[in-house]
Amino acid sequence: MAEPGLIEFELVVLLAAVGAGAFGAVVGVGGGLILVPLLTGFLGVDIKLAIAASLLGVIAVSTTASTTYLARGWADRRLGLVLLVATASGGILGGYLAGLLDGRVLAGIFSVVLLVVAGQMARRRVDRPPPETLPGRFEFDSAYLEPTTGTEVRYRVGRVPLGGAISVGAGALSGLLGIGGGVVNVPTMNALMGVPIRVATSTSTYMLGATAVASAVLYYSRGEVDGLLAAPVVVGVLVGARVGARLAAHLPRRALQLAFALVALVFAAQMLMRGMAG
Amino acid sequence: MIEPGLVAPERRWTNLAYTVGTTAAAACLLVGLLLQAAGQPADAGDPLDLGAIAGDLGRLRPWGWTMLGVIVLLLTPPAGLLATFVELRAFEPRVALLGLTVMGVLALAVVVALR
Repeated sequence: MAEPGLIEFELVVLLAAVGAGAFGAVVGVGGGLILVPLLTGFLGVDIKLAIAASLLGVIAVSTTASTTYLARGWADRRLGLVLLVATASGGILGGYLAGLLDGRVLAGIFSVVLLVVAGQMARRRVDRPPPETLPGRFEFDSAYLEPTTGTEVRYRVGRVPLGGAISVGAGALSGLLGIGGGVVNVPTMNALMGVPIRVATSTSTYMLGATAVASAVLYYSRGEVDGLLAAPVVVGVLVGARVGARLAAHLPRRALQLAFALVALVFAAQMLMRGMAG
Repeated sequence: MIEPGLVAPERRWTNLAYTVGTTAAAACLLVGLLLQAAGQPADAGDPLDLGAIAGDLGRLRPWGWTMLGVIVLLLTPPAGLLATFVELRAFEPRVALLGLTVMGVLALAVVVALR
């Protein structure tokens, strides 16, 4: 039989990934924000290996969920591809920078991002109706079918250049920390560009896979992708995301978002201490 | 109006690429995990040595199977973008070109990675 310690470790990683994937799917942040602190803080995995494994989990969840979102017309492919040019470019930047930065610095940046996300989770988001005027040069109109009401919802995508510029940062953050980038993409599309929250989250999920590939190849070339760590992470996150998507309809999402904000605060403190301790 | 659950023709190839790629990658990773649980030696090699990965596949070593899963997973989003270009070039050529542009950015990432 295999070395018992190794098998136990893989099992614990698998369970952590299932939990992170499920929790991430329910609260809508993706699993990376939970998984990377779990792997580094509780299981002693090197932060760069954890980030690389998390990026692979992001790709798997993105490609799986996107099939549903594209089929239902919730992911706006035109918007997604426009912003993908920016996020993938940012992903290269983030993946490159991660190779230059010390693990303690990455832990420090991660803790700051966790604090911001905790703040975001505590806030509510609302959709705005589209303006009555014709779309401008850098704007376009689109629509989707809202399943809860059965009606067609029209919206206008505005401020595309600014959204694209911010998306470069979202991609860089994703590549630097192994998180999906939805924490920046979704508020940008929803609050800044006027995209309804369902389309924003679906389009962001559609974009995450290719964004993560742009940085993951850099981790791969540096030997920071460990297949034996990636296996339980990817399989676990895929299972967890599926479970989370089913649970999401039956659980109090708002209460879970607030719970996530508390967990994020604890992880932020832990990552900060880790960064300072070295 | 979009009917719920209906896969529009111009999305079928992208969805197929995503489904086949993710399923194949997950299957390879799962095989690697099972081989490890079965006690096969889990020595890691050089991820850039494709020959070593191929050799591990034949010898049923976990590392080779997990790395094959990683490579298939990394190729899945680009395959989806290629499918997007193919299915949209006749209907929405500008959007299809955007898919090609993103593939160009991913190719740049590979170039930076191999430098």
